[in-house]
Amino acid sequence: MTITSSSMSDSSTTHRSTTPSMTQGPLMSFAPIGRFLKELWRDKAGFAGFAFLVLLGLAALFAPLLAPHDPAAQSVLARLKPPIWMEGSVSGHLLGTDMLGRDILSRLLFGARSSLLVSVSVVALAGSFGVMAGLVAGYKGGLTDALIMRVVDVQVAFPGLLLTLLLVAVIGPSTATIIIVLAFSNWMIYTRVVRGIVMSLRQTPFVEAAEVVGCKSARIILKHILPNLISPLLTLAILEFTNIILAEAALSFLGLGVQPPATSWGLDVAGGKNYMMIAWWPITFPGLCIAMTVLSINLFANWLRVTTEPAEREKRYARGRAAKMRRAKKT
Amino acid sequence: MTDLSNRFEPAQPVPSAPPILSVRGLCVTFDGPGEGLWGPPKKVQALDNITFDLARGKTLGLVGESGSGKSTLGRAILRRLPLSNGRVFFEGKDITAVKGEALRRLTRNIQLIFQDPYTSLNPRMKVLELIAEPLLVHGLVSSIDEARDQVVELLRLVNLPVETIDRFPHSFSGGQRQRIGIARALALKPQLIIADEPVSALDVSVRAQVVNLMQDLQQELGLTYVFIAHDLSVVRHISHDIAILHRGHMVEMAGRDAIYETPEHPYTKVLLSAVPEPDPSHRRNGGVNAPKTVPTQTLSFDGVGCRYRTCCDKAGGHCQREAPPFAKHEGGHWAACWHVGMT
Repeated sequence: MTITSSSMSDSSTTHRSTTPSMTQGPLMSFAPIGRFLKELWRDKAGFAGFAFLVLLGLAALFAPLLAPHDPAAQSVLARLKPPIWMEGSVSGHLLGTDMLGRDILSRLLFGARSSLLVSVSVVALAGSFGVMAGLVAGYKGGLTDALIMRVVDVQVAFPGLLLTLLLVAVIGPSTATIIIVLAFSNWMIYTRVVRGIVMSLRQTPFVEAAEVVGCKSARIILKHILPNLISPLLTLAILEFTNIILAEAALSFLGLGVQPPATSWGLDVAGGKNYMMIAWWPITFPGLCIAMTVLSINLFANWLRVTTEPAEREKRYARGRAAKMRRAKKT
Repeated sequence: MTDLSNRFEPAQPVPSAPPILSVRGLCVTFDGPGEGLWGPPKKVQALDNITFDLARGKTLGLVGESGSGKSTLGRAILRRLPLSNGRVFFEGKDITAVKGEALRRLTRNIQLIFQDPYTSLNPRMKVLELIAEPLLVHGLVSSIDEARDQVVELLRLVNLPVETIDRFPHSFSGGQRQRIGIARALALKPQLIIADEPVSALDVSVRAQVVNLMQDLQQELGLTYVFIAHDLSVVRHISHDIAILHRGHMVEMAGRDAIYETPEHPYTKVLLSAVPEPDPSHRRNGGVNAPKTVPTQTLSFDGVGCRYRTCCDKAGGHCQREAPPFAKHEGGHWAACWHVGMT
């Protein structure tokens, strides 16, 4: 990995210095990716997380090509067959079958599609709206702040699941509906968290310095406050991501989420729950997928957080250099 | 305002150049906590009737204990605080009511140097971005890269190596960070710089460097400083005039040597006696007595008579009856005391 990425960036730098415009375009655009991978490689855990996420994304994208079976095809004869390495398994069902005889591996691959689509879009949608509201409330203060925060309070006080069920029942279940409805009932936490941090950041001398220097509010919010919110926001978004996967499972379980024959991890966990005592595999594998995804995001986000913080990033670089020098001394 | 005019003696010599900054009867009031649950907010008089002139190219040292209103005065001059009374003139123009876009344009001429070099620089911006930002937001350059030459020039001006331009603030020491702060304040070529305790967060060893740098810049660029500090020796080093603040009042203002050699106001005397003197043979009170502390508990804030009458040796009947105005006395010595010149 290191070799390829370094050679990639090397070739691009030589190109930049020697050849003019024509060949530069495509190579220039690869250089940042090479640098990114090279830096990511130094953090093995972060790299593993990122690799898993990329594989997962590809698996979800190419699920129809990869899946050995139709995820919805039922077979009464092959119900609750264990994974291939266990006694009593049926050939062709790598991870066994569920209570309706559907192939678990195929369901995982297809389930990744809706699970990832829903949770990523909900976090992005709710996050961007909630963060924006929080930034405005925290920075403007006064009446604007009071108005936004009262809306938040009212919505927090209203039971989230009830609101979601109501909305889905009115609009009618579909993937787009779930995304919108879940975003609608989950944006408040971002506003609350962001507002608090913004209010304390407002008091810091560097924000006052930006004001004295003559920055307008929009620039202060975007250039001085928002970048300093990255680490708490990453943490919050990851916590929310798991929440959303579970919320989507709950909705699907109630029949208002992902509609069969489509499936999702949450739906499979909810369905497999009833057979947990006699067959562990229908619930374990989708559960494992959720856990692995969240872990991978965590590892990658941890790397990302350090990378966006200049001081931490340099410390990490220095640690890496020191370790390399120690190793060199030993040999 | 009206009674102020006769407080300025018409006989005072007309200064050769008009003052760059004039403050007249400036008052700042903050809302404190109310009385009980429903009571009206208690007013806290942070600054009361502050009046002074500052000539171009000079440095006014503002000295006072913590809570005396030094920083508030700095922010009030920058027009970041609402005044409850009084006027601020910059280059002869009344800037008391300036706000919005006009205030933003005004900041090109009045800049601020911060006390804490560690928190006053955005940790996620490079030196180039930090120093170029004022130029960018005032439309003097269209992109950060266009400002590079100017930033290099500014770094040279504050004695920072040019190769630091692409580094983040965390890799600098306190003194270097303060230089970055100074470079940022200088970027817009301001005429007046308010330095809010610029060296009090720094190591003693780098204080002199920063103060000397500020002095050099003053000579080179003709800057005017309002230098806020509580360190009397630093203030003496850099200032032309020194004003002593106490509890929101200006009690004395004079040339730096006059303040140190012939202090007139009782508070100034106490303040100066609190300065530790490293050489025992030079101690003001012969090295015998412990330095006096200001007997704040004996000060009377009843609004009648001089506040300091209870702790002043010279206090007489006049001091009991009427508070002395902050007025100009012989030799350009301003003091709020009835006894100036009567010693």
